Amino acid sequence: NILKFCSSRLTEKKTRHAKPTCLLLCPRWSLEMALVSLAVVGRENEPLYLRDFKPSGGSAIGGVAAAGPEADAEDAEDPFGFFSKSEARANDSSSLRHQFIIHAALDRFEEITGSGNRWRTPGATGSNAMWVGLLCPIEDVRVYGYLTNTSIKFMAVIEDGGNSRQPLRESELKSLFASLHDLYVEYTLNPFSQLRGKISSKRFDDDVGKYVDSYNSKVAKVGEKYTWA
Amino acid sequence: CGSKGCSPTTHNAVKNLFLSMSRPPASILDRPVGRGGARGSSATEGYVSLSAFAYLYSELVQYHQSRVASISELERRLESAGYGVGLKVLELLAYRARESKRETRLMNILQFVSSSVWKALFGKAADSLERSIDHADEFMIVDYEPVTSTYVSVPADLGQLSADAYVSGIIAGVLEGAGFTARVTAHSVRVEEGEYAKAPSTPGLPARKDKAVFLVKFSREVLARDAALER
Repeated sequence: NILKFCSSRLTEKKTRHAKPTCLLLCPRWSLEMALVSLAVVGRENEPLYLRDFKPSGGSAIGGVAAAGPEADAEDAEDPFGFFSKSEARANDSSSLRHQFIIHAALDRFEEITGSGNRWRTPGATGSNAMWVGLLCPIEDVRVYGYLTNTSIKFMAVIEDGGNSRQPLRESELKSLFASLHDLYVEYTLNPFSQLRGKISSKRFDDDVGKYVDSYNSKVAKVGEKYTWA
Repeated sequence: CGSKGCSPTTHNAVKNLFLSMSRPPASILDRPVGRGGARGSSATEGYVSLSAFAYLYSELVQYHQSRVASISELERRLESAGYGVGLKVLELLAYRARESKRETRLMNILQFVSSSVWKALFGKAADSLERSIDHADEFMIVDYEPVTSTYVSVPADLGQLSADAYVSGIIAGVLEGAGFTARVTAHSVRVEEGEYAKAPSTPGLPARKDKAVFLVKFSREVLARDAALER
């Protein structure tokens, strides 16, 4: 029984991401041009916040099917939710692949914004001036960057549209970065937040999630992709 | 930012941050300080009373004083308390600033500290910024009426202590956050006759006899870097 096979694999909690490994070729609705990963990198290029986002709306069909056996398996083992992963920190939840991509894009970031380079659009003020733009396309994603005055870097990994190569609506992304900067400043103003550590704040997590969801619902559109699920 | 004259812009900034979140303030701790919103821009909006700040600061000093064994340890604790404030103030002001350039030159960052940071925290710019003649790496920021030591009288047996160590921590935080490592110390220097002609801004108090001088000593790498940028 394929479902039983999947659930038994899922109970191995070796990795944080227990992806269903049953081999079924099934259509998966995915959001094109969706923001899949976000990184906040500090002054000395230390990671402050790394987080993946699963596109919420479009993958309802695929998501529910995947959640079925996983949820059942977890509930059977853990009826009271002591080991529930729902309280797991959103920070650091980004997959290894995304972390590699972001690390590679960081090199390009340094190249663009390095000493003496004129990368700022002349005459721009405020958050428009901090927008760096497309860092580089890697495999099937594109990475965009945003640099604050205090050398805090924000990077967004956008999944490329498979079929239609529509140009990314940068204005939406710019306003997303501005709101993220907003949130970051609010986080640092908290006297109880660590001075130079990873961002571990539930409010920050929730608000980032909200902004990214609204961005994804505005910009991305549902497309059909056939994948191994 | 807690002081007699917190400039309205900083509090408006915080208020606007909150409003843009479009989240109803859950508790009194989430609401912005000062009477905001309904009143519009009244004169006292966004200001924290001097007495509230002085009371809180005196408690802070007393708290640390009961836990240390020496004067320098007390100063170091006050400085580290102010360090975090400095980092955060830098982040906030950089976010709010209209111009998008990051200060990389020594004189520019010092002017930023003595004007923008002072205005944001204390409602007025620092009184003067001087360069030391003897040492090329020393600068002095002078404040004739530092808020932190307005209501503090240092007893004789704690001779060299300056209660403004908190502010020197703030300065050190701002400089460090901007990439200029520096050692900042606070000193109380007697005011000469006729040096300071302005009436004290808090009415009813006699003119201050001491001014606060913040000595900023930059590290060697910073100076070398600045000299290299000069060329």
